[in-house]
Amino acid sequence: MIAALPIELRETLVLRELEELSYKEIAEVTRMPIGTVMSRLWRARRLLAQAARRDEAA
Amino acid sequence: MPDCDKVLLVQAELDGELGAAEAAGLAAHRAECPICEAAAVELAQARALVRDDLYQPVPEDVRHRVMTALAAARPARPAMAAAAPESLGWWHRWWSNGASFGLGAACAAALAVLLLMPAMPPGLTEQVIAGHVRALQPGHLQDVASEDRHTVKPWFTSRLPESPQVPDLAAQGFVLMGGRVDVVGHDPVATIVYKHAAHTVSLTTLPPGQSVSDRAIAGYNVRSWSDAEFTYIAVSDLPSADLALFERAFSAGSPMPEVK
Repeated sequence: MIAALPIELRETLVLRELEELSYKEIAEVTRMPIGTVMSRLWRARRLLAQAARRDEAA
Repeated sequence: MPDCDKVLLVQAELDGELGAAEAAGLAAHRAECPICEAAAVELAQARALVRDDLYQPVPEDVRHRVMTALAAARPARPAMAAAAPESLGWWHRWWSNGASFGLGAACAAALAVLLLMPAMPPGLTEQVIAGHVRALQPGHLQDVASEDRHTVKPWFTSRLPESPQVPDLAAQGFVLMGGRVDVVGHDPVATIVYKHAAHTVSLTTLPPGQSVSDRAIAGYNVRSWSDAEFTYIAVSDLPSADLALFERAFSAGSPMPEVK
């Protein structure tokens, strides 16, 4: 399911969930503002939740 | 983008990124915002999905191969009699001729008492010391580096089912440096890190009711005490008298519950 995410969202999500980096650390690693880190995480999780709902409905 | 500008804060709270004051403010908002409340549910679901997706169990055949290889690498425990080294010969002779049966019985009784008395599982204190020593290596001292207890305490709360109080003991000479999660036995536990002059004090918190004796191991002093919530084990190269001061300061310095 994660593999279907756009690369920039997947990268942020994996750094957070697998590597357990903080927002600040992700921002440093990816050279993005913390606000962008937060919005990408939000979009990634939202897409996953929507995909899961679609799977359940199918 | 989210429909409420606080939704990203809901996510930050889920990720343990909010301080106590921000979290309290957000809780008040969430109580009145159905969008944020729904987002919290959705984020938690998404997080569970991600973890299911990322953390796959090791296939049984791989696990079996690893365990077999580990067993083969571990030296076999020799049989008692066959393995007795030359240096133990006197013991066998002494025991077999029965010359000191009374003393032997006393030793056996003492051993039985030692085995039966309630105590920490062997090696637990050593594991706590190992965590301290490992943490002293560059870059390992703490997972969350902060002198603010309002940062360290919520950090523990977001990661562990039970989190200890994190008192500010700077006035007593023990400056909060942060915290980390150590693994003792098979359980993640909270360790609070303080600094006293050039010395580091690691305070590891275990479930209450553990029996740990104060002692010195490998140059580190160990001091332990308990309250209703935790058994505390302090490890440092500080003199034992200073660790006693630390215990008194910590026990007296636990903050009162905050009034929102």
